[in-house]
Amino acid sequence: MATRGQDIVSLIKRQIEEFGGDLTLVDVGTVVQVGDGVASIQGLQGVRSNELLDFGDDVLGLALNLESDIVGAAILGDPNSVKEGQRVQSTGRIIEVPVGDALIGRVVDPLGRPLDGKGPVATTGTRSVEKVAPNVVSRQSVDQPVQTGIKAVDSMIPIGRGQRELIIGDRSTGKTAIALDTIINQKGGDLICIYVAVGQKQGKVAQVVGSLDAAGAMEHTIVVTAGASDSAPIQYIAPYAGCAMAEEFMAQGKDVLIVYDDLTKHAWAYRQMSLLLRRPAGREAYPGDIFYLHSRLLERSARLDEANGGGSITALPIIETQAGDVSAYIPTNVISITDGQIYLEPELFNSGIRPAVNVGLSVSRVGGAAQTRAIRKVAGQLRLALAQYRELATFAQFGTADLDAATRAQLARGQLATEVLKQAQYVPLSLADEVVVLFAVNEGLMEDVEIEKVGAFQDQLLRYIGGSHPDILATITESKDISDEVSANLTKAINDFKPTFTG
Amino acid sequence: MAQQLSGKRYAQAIFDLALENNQVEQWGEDLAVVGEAFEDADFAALMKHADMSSVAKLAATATVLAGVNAMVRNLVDLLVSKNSVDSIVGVYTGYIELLDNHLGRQRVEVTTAVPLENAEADRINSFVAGLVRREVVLTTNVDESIIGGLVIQIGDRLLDGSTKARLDGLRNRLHTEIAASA
Repeated sequence: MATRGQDIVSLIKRQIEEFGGDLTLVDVGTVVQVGDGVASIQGLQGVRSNELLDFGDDVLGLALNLESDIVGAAILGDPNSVKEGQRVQSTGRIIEVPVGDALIGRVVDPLGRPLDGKGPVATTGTRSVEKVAPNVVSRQSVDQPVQTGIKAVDSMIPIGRGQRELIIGDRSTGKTAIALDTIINQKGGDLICIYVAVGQKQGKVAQVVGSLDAAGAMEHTIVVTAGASDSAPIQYIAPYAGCAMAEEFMAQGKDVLIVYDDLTKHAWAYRQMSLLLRRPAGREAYPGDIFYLHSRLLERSARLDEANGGGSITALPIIETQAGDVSAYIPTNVISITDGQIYLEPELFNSGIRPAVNVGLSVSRVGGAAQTRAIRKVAGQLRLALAQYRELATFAQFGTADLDAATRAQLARGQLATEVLKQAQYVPLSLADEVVVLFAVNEGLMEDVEIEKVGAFQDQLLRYIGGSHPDILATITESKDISDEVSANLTKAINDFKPTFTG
Repeated sequence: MAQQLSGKRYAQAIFDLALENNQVEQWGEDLAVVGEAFEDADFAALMKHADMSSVAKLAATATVLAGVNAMVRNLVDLLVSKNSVDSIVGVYTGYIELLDNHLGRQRVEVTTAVPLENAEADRINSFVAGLVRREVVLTTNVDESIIGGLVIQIGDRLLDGSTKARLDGLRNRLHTEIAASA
């Protein structure tokens, strides 16, 4: 404590010595109109686009519309504190956020101010919120996996480092759950995670932070939140601010995973701002640059080549659909920008298939390139089995007695696959565990297990292998492949376990 | 906002007319009289009042603005009959801006905590004139809340050398640096 006191004393001494310092000319203007969080300002001749404005009393603004006589600005902060006739100063700073390691484990607002009551964030650098995405030359193709720990995703919709994979579905179909499980699964790994909450209920954000904390996942995670009660401009900059924080790590050659939860509300916030700034409205009253709003954000996710440090940003944007309508304006926009989507369906969710991934509509355009060899070897038939099953399942509702043996086998395989891919929330599996389960399915070693007991079988099998054959798991984890030897050992181990399964 | 913008358009029009007549400064003085009259809230309200006929309104302006150039009065009558009374003050401020530009003048507002002495005002005048390379028209204000030093406003630009601003800056820097060292 004494040393800290000394530090502060010397700091104040230096500040007193330098008191006054240089004077600079600043641009000033006068608020001529204010309302709904948007101000029209006269003056501010030299102001630049996206420059921060100082309304005094710690209220900042963002210059957005630059016209010949009037500057349209969004107020970041309490809009009621700005009055007509008030003086506004330009700051010369294009909007920026604090970045760096000190943010990890913290909950901050889009301007980097702490919200978790753990005191100030001791960051040293800042980064511009808006930045042009890395160009073609500095990128390399996506070929390393992000292990989500979710069997259905890792086996059928693999996500690579640097990819943009959309999570789309109706309300309460488990969209956030998939993102959270992915974050939790990075515990002890090398991925830094950023969760950006846009327009979410504060209660939900608190719940998310609570679950991450309970799972020990806050140690590698930054939460950036602009809640439903925050002003539209604050919500608008939140994803860009989160992305700027991620870019700092990417520039250091690290890998980052960023979740934007969700971009539907981000589009709403931008629509509100645009309408209040009197920009022309287009389809569904969204402004003309609504596509660019999301494309410039998601383009900033990239995998840099070795010459640029080899870092990456993987983005998991979330879109909420209304009544399953994926062909609405914002969903189609974001679908076309991203490298694939995980489509969650309420019908599946309600019939107990969780995660409620619709295998037919979900796709990852990066595909097998981002899968470990081990998963690729065991997941091959899964997608096919499920796709065929969905077709037959409707047909087989009327009874299976009259069906031929091949069809019945196909149905059984599909049922088994569906059952195996069910997974509870907050229990992501390690790569080796996933491989063991999928191996058992793929090799037909689970065909004699009753459907109702598949879950219990999995749990006990994993516990047995973890207890009696940790060497197999270690080999898979290390080599990320299934050699003939591992294959033989694993088959034997599973066959040894089966008689002991109590059901 | 719209009123102020349209004021600028009218100002440009009357200024062009004044230029053609070579009477920019005289008309400026006339517009000052107009501006003063319409800054009076009661008079402006009367001119906007719906119960007053436009003939009566024009008669009123004729009395109030008796000594004013006919062209300037025409402008006022035009705005009054078009129900644009609110933009008249804007016309005056717009005209002053155009006139200053035309004559190479720069209006500068200096705020100090204590009243300036003449010698000091002259020094500030020559300092700012050197800065903007134009003839400077100085207005001085006294505002005790800035504690000391002075604030110079040149058009849309501000040179804040007040003790208050320096203390605010010191407070902000200490906040951020102590936060960063914690």
